[in-house]
Amino acid sequence: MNHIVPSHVETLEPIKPKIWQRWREPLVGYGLILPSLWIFLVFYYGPALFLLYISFFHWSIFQNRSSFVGLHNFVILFHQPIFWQSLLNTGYFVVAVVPVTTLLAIALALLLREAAGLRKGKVAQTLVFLPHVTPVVATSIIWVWIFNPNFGLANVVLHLLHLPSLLWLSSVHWALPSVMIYTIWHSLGLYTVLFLAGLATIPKHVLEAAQVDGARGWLTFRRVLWPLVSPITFFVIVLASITTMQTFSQIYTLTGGPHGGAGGPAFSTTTDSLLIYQTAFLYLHFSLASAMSLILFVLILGLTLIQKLIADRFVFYR
Amino acid sequence: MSIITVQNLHKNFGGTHVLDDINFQVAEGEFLTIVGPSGCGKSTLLRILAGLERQTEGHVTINGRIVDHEPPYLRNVGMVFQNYALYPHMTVFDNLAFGMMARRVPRPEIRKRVVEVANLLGIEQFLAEKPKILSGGQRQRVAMGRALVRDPVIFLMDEPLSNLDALLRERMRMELRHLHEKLHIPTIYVTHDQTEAMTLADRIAVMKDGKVLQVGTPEQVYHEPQTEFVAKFLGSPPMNIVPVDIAHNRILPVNEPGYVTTLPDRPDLSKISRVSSVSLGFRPEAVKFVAPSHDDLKIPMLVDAIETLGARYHVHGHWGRTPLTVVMNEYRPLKRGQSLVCAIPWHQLHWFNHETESRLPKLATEPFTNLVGSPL
Repeated sequence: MNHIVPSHVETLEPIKPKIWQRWREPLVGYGLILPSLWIFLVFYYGPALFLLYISFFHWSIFQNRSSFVGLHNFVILFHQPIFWQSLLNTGYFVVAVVPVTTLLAIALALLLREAAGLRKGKVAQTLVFLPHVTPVVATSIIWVWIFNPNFGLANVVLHLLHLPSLLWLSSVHWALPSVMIYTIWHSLGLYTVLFLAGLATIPKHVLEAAQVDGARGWLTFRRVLWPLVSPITFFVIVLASITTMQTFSQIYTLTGGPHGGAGGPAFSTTTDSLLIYQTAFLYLHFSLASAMSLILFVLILGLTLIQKLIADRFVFYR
Repeated sequence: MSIITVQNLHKNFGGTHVLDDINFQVAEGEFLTIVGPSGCGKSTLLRILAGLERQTEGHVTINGRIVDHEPPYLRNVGMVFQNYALYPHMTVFDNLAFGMMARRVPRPEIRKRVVEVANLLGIEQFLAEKPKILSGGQRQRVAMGRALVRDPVIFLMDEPLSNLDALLRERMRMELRHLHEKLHIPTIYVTHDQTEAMTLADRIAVMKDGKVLQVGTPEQVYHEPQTEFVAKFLGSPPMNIVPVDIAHNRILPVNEPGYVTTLPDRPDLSKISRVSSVSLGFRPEAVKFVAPSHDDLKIPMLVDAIETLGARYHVHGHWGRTPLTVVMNEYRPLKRGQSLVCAIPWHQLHWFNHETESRLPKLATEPFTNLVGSPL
């Protein structure tokens, strides 16, 4: 008889790992993420938590004059008409910019999709994306000239369309819409490319099946394309809402300069983030500005959560 | 009356000919399979019929109407895609209903048809589900249902079973055939699987390199293949084809005089003196090992290997340098290197022109005058 298995089989003692062996792997892991974690904590969460802290203080750059005031900063804010005005302006800005940007982006993406992969398609895609990579401050200055009531391009276009010319950035009613136009121009490329990427993931056969099924343009879009890019739409809406709520640079550059202090005329372009900037760095009320930032943060968080709730009913994830 | 007529159809992609002068018809209630290796243009042909692709030249007639320039939504064809292409975000019900919605069929009518078809295909319990949770076979049924529900003029199927496992594929094949016998909707079925093509079809069209090589009933294409390619493509294991020289009453593989064998003693063969550039073909299952008659061609084969398939055995060997495969229904002990005499009845032999690879009439009845001459 062959002895394949030895007649005496010993049970092996489980090897006890030494302390350093047990800790080696996690230590290496944490060691590797530490550099970026450190930057994240010091420059990201640190200031954010500090902001939370000082919003409950009457805080001065000179520490010895700071004192805890509880919710007093918020009470002050709620009694300031300009604060409410800034929230209203921000709301108007978001409500106008986000839907227009989203719809324009998907329309452009549908157009560009036809030529995707072709040379002209790539050129068009680049042209659409180009504004987004330009620096906001630099192009804002160009747009100040475009919006010039006397010799700007904007009024030339209106004139060609036989429409009355506008005062644009100098008008209480048109200053914020002017900023909106610039914002849409600047951000459209990014969202278009996002939609293009979304459209590219739709299986070709599904669209062909719709064709054979007898669906055409609008029906195919509404019942097949649109639901299938709904995750992208949701992402675009959230991203656009957050960035427009935080809009600062173009307002500062477009409405400042020749028109005096930014946010004018008559506070018509004073959004929340502009007011935060002015309160903190012009009037040096850091604790008030912090309280405002906190409110803006809560508003953005709230809006995003609401959007998420709505989206859960409509967004289709494959 | 034919439902679909394809005339002189050509398709070029850039400089390459994908389809080259395609002609065929599908009659009312007929099941036509188009079979060929991948890249032969069969899917492109189907897409042209559906209107998803435009032909370069030629005409497609559906129901007596030339549809060359008609987009898909005007053609009322039902198509089943290889990967099903279900709408992933819709329920099974909506997947089925979408085509009728696009055609503005009233809601109660849609409901009725969808339920009808779902019952027919046995997917009624999934109507409220999304395709994601369905198995391959169930998705397959939904895809069929989607094409069926609109009452299409013709069914186009692009390798619909190729994503299923072998067992399920066999079952779906049977079901497809039953469904066709029940509904009689004319069907064009594209596949690369010769078993599917043979079992499903009323007629088969064999394609290669953008050309239709032969159209006929499964029996016709199997028993009278018009080219060597058709002969080899249909049937498993494929037909043995050996280029041979014939002189007087002797036959041998080209340039291998050591393997000569005698032709059967037939009175009609006496007029042959010398033939070359001809290929001899015979199916592996046509070979007999017992009781050869005087009418059989007897080929000496050297055995290389035996494959056991259970019910039968595949014997691989060679005649000269040409590899052969024959099917044996009863086991007999064979050794590597052993000589085995394969007897093939005269009427089971196929003859092909070696140069053009096209079928030649029976060797006995025609003297092959055009091939006579080259000295052995």
